[in-house]
Amino acid sequence: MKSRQHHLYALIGTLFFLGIAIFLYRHLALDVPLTETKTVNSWMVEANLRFTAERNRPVQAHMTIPYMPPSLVILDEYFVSQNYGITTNLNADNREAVWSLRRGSGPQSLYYRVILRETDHQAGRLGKPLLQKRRVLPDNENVAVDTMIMQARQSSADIQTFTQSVIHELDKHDGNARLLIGDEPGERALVQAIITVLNQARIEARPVQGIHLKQDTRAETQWFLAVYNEQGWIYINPHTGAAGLPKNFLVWQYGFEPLFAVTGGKIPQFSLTISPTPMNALSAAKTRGLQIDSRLLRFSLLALPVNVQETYKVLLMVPIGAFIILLLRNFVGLMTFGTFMPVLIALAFRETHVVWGLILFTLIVSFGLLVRFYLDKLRLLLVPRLAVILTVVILMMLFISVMSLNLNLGSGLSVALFPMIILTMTIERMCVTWDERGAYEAIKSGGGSLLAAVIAYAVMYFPALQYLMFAFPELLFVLLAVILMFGEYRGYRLSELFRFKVLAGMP
Amino acid sequence: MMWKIARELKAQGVLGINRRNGDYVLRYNPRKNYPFVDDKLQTKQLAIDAGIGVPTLYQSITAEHQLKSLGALLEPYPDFVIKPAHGAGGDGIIVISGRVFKHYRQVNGTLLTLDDLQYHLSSLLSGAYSLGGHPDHGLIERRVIVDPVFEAVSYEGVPDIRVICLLGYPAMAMLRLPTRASNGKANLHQGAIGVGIDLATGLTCGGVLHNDAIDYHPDTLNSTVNLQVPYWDKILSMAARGYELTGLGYLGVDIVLDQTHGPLMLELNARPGLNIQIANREGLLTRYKAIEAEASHGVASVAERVAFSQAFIGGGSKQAPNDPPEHVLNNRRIERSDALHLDG
Repeated sequence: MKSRQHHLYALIGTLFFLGIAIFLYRHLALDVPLTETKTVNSWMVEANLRFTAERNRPVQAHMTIPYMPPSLVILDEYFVSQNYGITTNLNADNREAVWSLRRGSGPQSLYYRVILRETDHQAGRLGKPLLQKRRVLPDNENVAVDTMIMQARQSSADIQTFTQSVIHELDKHDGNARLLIGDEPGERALVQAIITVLNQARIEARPVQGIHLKQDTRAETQWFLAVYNEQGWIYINPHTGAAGLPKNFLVWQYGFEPLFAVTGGKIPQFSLTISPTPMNALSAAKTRGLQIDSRLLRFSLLALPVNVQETYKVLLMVPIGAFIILLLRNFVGLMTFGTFMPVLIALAFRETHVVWGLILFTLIVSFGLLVRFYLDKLRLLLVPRLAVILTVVILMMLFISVMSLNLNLGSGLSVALFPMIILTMTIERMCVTWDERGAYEAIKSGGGSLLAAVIAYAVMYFPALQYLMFAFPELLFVLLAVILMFGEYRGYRLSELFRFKVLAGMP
Repeated sequence: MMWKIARELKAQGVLGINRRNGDYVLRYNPRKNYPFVDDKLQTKQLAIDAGIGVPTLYQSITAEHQLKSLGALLEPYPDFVIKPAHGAGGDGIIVISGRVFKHYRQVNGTLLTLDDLQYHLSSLLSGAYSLGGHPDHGLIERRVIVDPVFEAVSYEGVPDIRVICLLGYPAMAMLRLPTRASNGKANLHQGAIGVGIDLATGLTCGGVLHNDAIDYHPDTLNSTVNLQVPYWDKILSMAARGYELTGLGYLGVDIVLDQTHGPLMLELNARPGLNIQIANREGLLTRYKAIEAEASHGVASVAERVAFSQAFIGGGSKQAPNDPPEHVLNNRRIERSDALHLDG
C-alpha cells in the first residue's frame, strides 16, 4: 500500500516537473508566447517588377532581394509569377532572384513578397573585406581627395569620426566637394564621393540601398554607408553622419548596381509596397523555430498541416473535459448518463453554441423518449429497438435541419454534428432509468448530464486555455499529474454532505 | 457550513463513495472474482456447494427459443420469481404470486399475460437490465414467503437483511422494509425503510425513511423498534462465509427470511451501498478500522469472526439520531475512535 503510494507520488512528481520544464523552456528560451493576442511587429514588403516581354524571346529578370538584413528577420517569402522558373543565387554581398522564361510576350508582372519581423539581433551579413589598393584618380580629384582626407584626419579620432568628418567636409559645397560629387546633386553621387574619399584613405566602405519600413505604396530606396572599422561594419547616414541604422530600416542591397535587370523585356518598372502586418506571435515563433532549427519547436503541432492542427486544437481539449467530469463526479457528485457522454455533447456544442445545443439536445432526446415509450408496446428486442431509435434520431436531425433552413435559423443546421450514437444510448438509458427509478431520477441524471456538458463546454472552449494547450501540448503531462493527484481524493463528495447530513447531527 | 459538516462526518467515521471505492472495493475485491457475485447463477451454485441456503432454482432461461415453451416451463409452479442473472438494484425482477385464469398475478395485484412475461424475458436476455447492456440470462426461482415476523412491518415486497462484511467480519447490518412508496422494493432510494440492527443481539433500532428518523412502518403503522431478527447468529455466519465463498474481502450480503426454510442468501454485492450508515446512524469507518486491526493478527474461523464482531463491533446503534456518539459506545470503541482522530 505504502509502496504503491510512493510510486504514484513519484510518477505525479515526474510528470509534473517534466511538463513544467518543457513548458518553461519553450516559453523562456524559444519565445513561444503565453497568450494568443500577443503580436509582434512585422512587415510585409512586396517588390513588383513589370515589363513588356518581347515577342518570342527568352526572358530573364534579375532582382536583388534582401538576405539576412540587420535588425530584421525574414519570416517568410514568396515568389509569385506565371510560368516562370525561379532560382535564387547568393553572390558576394547580395542575394538575387532570377526569373526566367523561354518565350514570353505581352505585359509581365513578377512579385517578390517578404515578411519581416523586428529582432534585437544586430549583425548583418557583410563579412570581413579584402584590403583594396588605392585607385588611381585623375590629378585634380586626387588633390581634392587628399585635402579632404587631411582636413578630416585633423578633426577625427577613429574611423567612425573620420567618416563623419568627411561627410561634414563634403557638405560644405566648396570647390573640392563639388568636384567630387559632380554637378548633379543626388544621393547616389554623394555616397559615391564619400566612398571614393574613404577608399583613398584605405578605409573599406560600401554603399547600402534600403527602405524605411513604414506604410507606403511606392517606397523609394535610400542610401546608407557601411564602413568597416576593423572590428565590424558600422552604418552611417550619408547626409547627417549619424551612426547606426535607424529603426525599421531594411537593407535591400549592398553596392551601386541597380536593384533589377531585365533582358528580353522592355520598359521595366519596379515598385516597392510596404505594409505592417501585425502577426500572431505564435506563428512568428514557429517560423523562427524553423530557422534556428530547434527540435522542440519542430516537434510542435505547428508543423502539422493546418486542418490537422484544427483537429488537434479540439482533441487537446478532450482531456480537459475529462478532468472537468472527474471534478464534477468525484468532488461534487453530479449524476450523469455515461461517464464521458457530457464531454462528447460539449464537443457538439462547439458547432451549435450552447443555447441552441441545449434546445436541440432536449428536443431530440424528448422526442426519442416518446418513440422509445411507444416502442415498448411493440416489444422489440434490444438491438432492433436501438436501431429504430438511432434511425428516429437521425430522422429528427434531418427534420430539424430542413425546418431551420426554411425558417432561416442557421444554428439548426449544425444539429448534424451531434453524436447520434451517444444520443441513442442516452435515450435508451434514460428510458430504462425512467421505468425503473422513476421520472425524477431520469430527469435528474439527464439534467446533470446537460449541466456537466455546459460546464465542460465553458472550460473547453475558453480561448486562452485552448490556445495554451495548443501552443504547449506538454501541459498534458501536468494535467496527467493533476488527474492522478485528484484521483487519490478519498474525501466526501459535495452531494454526500447532504446525503449524510443527518449523521453529522445536523437537521 | 459545508466545511463543518465535512469535519463532523469525518469525526463520525462516515464512509464516502470515493473512499469506499479506493480504499475498500479496489483493495479487497480482486477483479477476477467479480463474476461470482455479478452472475446470480454462479452465486447460487457456490452457495449450494457450500451448503448455504438459497431460494430453489426452478429454471434458467439462457436462449430466446426457450421462451416459446415458457408456458409449459412455468406450468408446475404456482408462484415464482423472474430475475436477471446480472441485474443490479432490483431492476428487472418480477414476482408472480399466483394465477388468475390464464393470467399471472403479480404481488401488487397486476395481472400479466404469458406474452408479457415472454417480452420481459426477451429484453432481459438481450441485456436490458444487465450492467453495460451485455447479453444476460434469466433465473426463475422459488418465491420467498416472508417470515411472519416481518409481515407486520412490510408492504407487499420481501424485506431483506443486508450485512456488510469486511474480510469476512460482519461490520454492519440493516433490515430493509418495502413500503407502498417503494413499490414493494427493498431499495432505500425508492422509499423503503432502512432499520439498523444491533450486531450483538439482532434487535432492530429505529429506522430511517429517506433521511428522517422513523419508528414505525408508514403503511402498517407497526413499530419497527426492538424487533428480534430470528436466526440472527445463523444470518451473521452465512454473511461471514461469503468471504470464503467468493474471495471478495468487501461484500454486501443480502439475506431473506423464509417462512419454512429460514434465512436464505439472496445475492451478494461487491460494491455495497452506503445508506446502511444512515439506517444505523453510525459511520462505517470506525468499525472497518477495528476489523482491519483484528484481521491483521491472522486467519480466523467463521465462528471466531462472528464472535469478534458481536463482541466488539456491534456495540450498538444509536437509538436516536441526535444523541452524542458516546452515548452508546463502549469504552473500547471510544479509545479507538480517539486514536483515529489522532491519525487524522
